[in-house]
Amino acid sequence: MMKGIATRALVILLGLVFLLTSIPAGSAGAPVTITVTNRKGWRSTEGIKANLPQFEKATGIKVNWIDIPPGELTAKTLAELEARTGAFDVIMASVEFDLAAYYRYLIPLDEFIAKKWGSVASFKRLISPEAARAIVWEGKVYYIPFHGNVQFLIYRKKLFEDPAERSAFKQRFGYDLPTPPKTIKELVDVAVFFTRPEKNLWGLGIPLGGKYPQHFLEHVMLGAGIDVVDLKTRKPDFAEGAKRDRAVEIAQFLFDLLYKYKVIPPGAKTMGHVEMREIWKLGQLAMAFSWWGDHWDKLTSPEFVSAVGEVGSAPFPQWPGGPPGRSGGRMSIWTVGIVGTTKNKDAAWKFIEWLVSEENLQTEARTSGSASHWIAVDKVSAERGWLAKGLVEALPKSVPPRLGFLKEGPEIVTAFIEEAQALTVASVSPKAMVDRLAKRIAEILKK
Amino acid sequence: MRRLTLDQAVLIAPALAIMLVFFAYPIGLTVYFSLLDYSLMRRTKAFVGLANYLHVLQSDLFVRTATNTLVWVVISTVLPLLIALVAALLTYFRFRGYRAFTALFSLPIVFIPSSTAILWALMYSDPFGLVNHLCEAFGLGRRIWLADPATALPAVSIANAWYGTPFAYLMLLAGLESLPLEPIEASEVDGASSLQKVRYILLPMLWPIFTVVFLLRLIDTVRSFALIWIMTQGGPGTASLTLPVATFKASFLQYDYGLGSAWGIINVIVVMGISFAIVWRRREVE
Repeated sequence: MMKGIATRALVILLGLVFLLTSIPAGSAGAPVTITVTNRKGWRSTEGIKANLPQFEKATGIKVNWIDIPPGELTAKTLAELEARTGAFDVIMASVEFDLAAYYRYLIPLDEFIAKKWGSVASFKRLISPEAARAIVWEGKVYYIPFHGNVQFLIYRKKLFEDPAERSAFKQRFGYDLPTPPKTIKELVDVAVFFTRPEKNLWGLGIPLGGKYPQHFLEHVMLGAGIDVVDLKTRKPDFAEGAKRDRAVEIAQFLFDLLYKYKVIPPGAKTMGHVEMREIWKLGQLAMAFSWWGDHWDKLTSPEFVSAVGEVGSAPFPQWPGGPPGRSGGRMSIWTVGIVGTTKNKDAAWKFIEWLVSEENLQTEARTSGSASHWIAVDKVSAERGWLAKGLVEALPKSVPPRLGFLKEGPEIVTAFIEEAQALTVASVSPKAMVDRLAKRIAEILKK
Repeated sequence: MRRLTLDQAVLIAPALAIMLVFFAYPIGLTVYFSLLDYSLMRRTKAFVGLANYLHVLQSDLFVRTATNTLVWVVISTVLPLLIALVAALLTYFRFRGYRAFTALFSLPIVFIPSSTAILWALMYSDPFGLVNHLCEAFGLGRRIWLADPATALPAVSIANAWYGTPFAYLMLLAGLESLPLEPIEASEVDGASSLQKVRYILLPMLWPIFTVVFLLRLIDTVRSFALIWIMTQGGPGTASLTLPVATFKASFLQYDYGLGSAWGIINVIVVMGISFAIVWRRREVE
C-alpha cells in the first residue's frame, strides 16, 4: 500500500518538474516586459511613474517597476548583478558608489547614444560637465543621468525682511543683515542672531542623524578644496599639512555650531531632512541646510507658506580659501543603465529614451523640485520657478562625492559616518576626529 | 535504530529537500563566504581561510560590539522577564480588573519591530517626544536620548524590553495556569501567605518554564536587528553597534560579503553557545 502511494507521489513530482521546466519563458507575440528598479517612495520619480501608462501604450512595452527601499537599493541591485540572475533590465544608479560598482555588469550605451544624439560628444554637451564625467567608465558611457541635486541653504524671508530684526542685527553686528549670508562668518552671525531658545527659534537647522553629519562635512570639505581621498595618490587628502589644518577647522566649525554658538536645535542630532522640514514648518528655524531640492514643492506649498511665510534659498557659503567658482560639494547624480544580462536591450533603451524625455524631466522638476543635469531642461525648469534658486546656483558649482569613484568608497564612508557622528555627540574632539578618520582611511586604502 | 524503508525515504524527501535548500545551503554558503575575501566593490573572491575571523576578533570594533551586545542582551532580557514575572503572578492571583490588565499589558505583542522602533524613536525625539516632556514635568531636563553615547544603547534596549515583555508575560502566565493545583491548595491548608506560596511553591514549579522563556528571549535578543537599526543604526559612532548590526554594515553597507559572513557566523556561534550552555545547565539541574 505504502509502496504504491510513494511510487505515485514520485511520478506526480517528476511530472510536475517536467511540466515546469518545459514551459517556454515567453511565447511569440507576447508583449516585451522589462524590469526597472526604482528608489521606493522617492519624490523625484513619483511623477515619472505616473506617466508610465503613456509609455506602455505608445510602445507596447510593459514595465515592471520595482520599488526598492533606499537603504537596500545598492545592496539588492549589486547582489542581483553579481549573481547574474537577470532579474533587472534597467537599473537606477547614483554617483555615490553605484556607478563604480555596477558598470562591469552593464552594457556600454555609446552606440545607442550615437544613434539618438548623433555622437557621444554631442550628447555630453547636453548634460552638465560633472555628470558627463561621472557616467564614463573605461572610456565608455554606461549611464544616462536623470536627476541632480545638492544640499543648499534655505531661509525664512519674512524673518529676514522684518525691519525690527534688520535694525537689531545692524546694531549688534555693525553691518546689514545679509539676505542670504554669503560667507561663513555672516552665516554664523546670522545664526547666532536668530537663535532664541526661549522662543523655540534656532538660527540654523542641519540634520545630523545617521549619515547626515558626514554629508555636511563632506559638502563643506569639498567646497574648501579638500577631497576625502586624493584619487591620484590614493591617500587621505587631509592627513597632513594645510589641508589637515583646514579639515580640523571645518570639524571645529560644526562642533562650534553645536556646542559653542548653540545655533542648531539639539534634537537635530537624531534628525534626517524630513524631520528638519517639519521643524521648519513649525517656525522653529531661521535657516536650514539640507537636500532641499527633494522638498522644494512642499516648502513652497500654501500649507508651508501660510505656516512660516515665503522661503528663500541660496548656496551654502563656501569655506574661505576654497577653489574659485566652487560653492560646495556632494553633488548628487542619479542615472539609469542597461544590465548586460537583459534579453530586451532595445526595449530597455526605448525606456531610457522615454525616461529622459523633456516631458518627464520637467515633470520631475515640477512635482519634486529636482534638477536633471540636462542643461536645457534645467534652464526651463529654473525659469518656470520649479527649482529653488539655491539649487540652480549651487549645482554647477558643486562636485560629486569623490568616494564614489573608489572601490573602497563604502568602507571609507562607513568610517566617515561613525567619526562624524562621534564628533556631533562630542565624544571626540574635532582635531582627534580628523586625525582618527585620516588614519582609518589610510588603513582601508592599504588593504 | 530502525532503517528507513524506500517509501518512508520518498515521503520524507520533499521536506528534507526544502530543509537542505532553505536552511543548510544558506548556512553552508555563509560559512564558505566567511572564508573568502569576497567584496562586491573590490571585486575579489579569493580564499583567505580564517583571515576574516581574525580581522574581526582582533579589531577594537569587536570588543566594542561584544560589550554593546552584552548590555543590549542583559537589559532586553532581564528587564522584560522580571516585569513579566511580576505581572503574571499578579494576574495569577486574579486581582480586580485583571482581564483588562491582561489585554492592555499584552498589546505590544501585536507590534512589529519596525513600528515599535518608530514609535519609540518618536517618544525619545526632541522636541516632540513624550519621554522628554515627562522628564521636564519631573524636573529632570531634556536629553537627546538616541544621540547621546551614554544613553543611546540603554534607550533602545528599553524599547526592546517593552516589545519583549508581553511575550514573556503570556508564556509565564500560561505556565502558571498549567501548574498542578494540589501543592497550592495544600499550602493554603497549611496557612501559607501569598508571598510564601510564590516563594516556595510557584517559583520552583515555574522554574523550567522560566528558563525556556529566558532562553527564547535571549536568542531573540542576540539576533535582533530591526529595532536597533531603525532607531540608531548602531550609532552615534559605534555606541549602540551590536553583532547583527555590525554584520549588516559589513555586508550591505560596505558590500564585503566575506567580512559580513564572518561577523554573522560569530553571531550564530554566540547564540548557539548561549543556547547549549543553558540547555546543558538545565539538564544538570534536572
